[in-house]
Amino acid sequence: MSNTSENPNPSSSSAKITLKTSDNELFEVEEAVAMKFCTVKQYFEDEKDNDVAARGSSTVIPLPNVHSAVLARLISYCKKLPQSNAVADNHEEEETKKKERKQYGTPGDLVDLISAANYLDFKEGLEFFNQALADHIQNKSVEYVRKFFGIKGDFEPHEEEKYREEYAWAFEGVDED
Amino acid sequence: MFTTNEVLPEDLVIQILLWLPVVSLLRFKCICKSWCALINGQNFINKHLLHNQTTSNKNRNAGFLLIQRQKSSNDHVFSKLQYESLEILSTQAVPSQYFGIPNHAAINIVSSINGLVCLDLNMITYVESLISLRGGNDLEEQDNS
Repeated sequence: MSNTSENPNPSSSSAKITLKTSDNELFEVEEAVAMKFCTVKQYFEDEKDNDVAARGSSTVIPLPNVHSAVLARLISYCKKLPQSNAVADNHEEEETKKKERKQYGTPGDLVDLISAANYLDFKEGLEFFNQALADHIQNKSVEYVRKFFGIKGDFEPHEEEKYREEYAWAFEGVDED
Repeated sequence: MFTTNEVLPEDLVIQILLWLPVVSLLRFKCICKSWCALINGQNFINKHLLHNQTTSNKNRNAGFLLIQRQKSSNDHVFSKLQYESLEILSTQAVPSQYFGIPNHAAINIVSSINGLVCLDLNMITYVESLISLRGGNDLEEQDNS
């Protein structure tokens, strides 16, 4: 996959692809950015194979499962990609990256971003937002995580109590909900 | 700001859980029976281990393990130290009642791998303190048993 945002001569690769979101907004994005979404890439290549008269700039690809607000964030993430994927090699850098991951919205937004990245088959994005959500729930209580994922606890109270006693240390230092 | 907050399908939840440290996973085992079964499953354990070794997660979990005695209680505790700063990240009591580690024994960490820790119990020290308590002199016999 080619490096998109660093292209010194944008006019040479300025083929645009138009994406249409679930709320009927049109996004014109550089081909190289759109190709990071494998679902779009597949669709685009199928179109080419079918030798549809419409090629390149005039192709509109519908994304019925992606809202415009979500797509805008995914595109902005795509443009930052090269820096974001560098491996952190010490604690401070890891903290910086954590902050960066926090910038992409509330935990609820992250759920939408993860769903969209999954639908678009956008691997780097999916990993990034999965990690961002893991950062968020890492120090949370059992009650918080149940509520967040819409899960109902189904252990008997005495079973749960016994477990909490046995692993008491894992329940220490949990964040406020 | 988004209109929907749909609950994620299981395969995506699994991918998120892979990024969590073990302590969070232990806690989340009591979320519900299906999470418990998932987290306990050999398949998930293998994936989690592999994930921690191959991603940028590696540095997050790197560090040193230290064993020491708490001054106040004289109990053995494990401490996890941050890789570069050597700052103590967490401290946890060695669960001696489960492993039958006598309180007098000297413990050394021989090695650790993938969360398993090999401890060396210095039984001679233990035997010596035992003998000194009993005032006996059967060191040889104890050592061989």
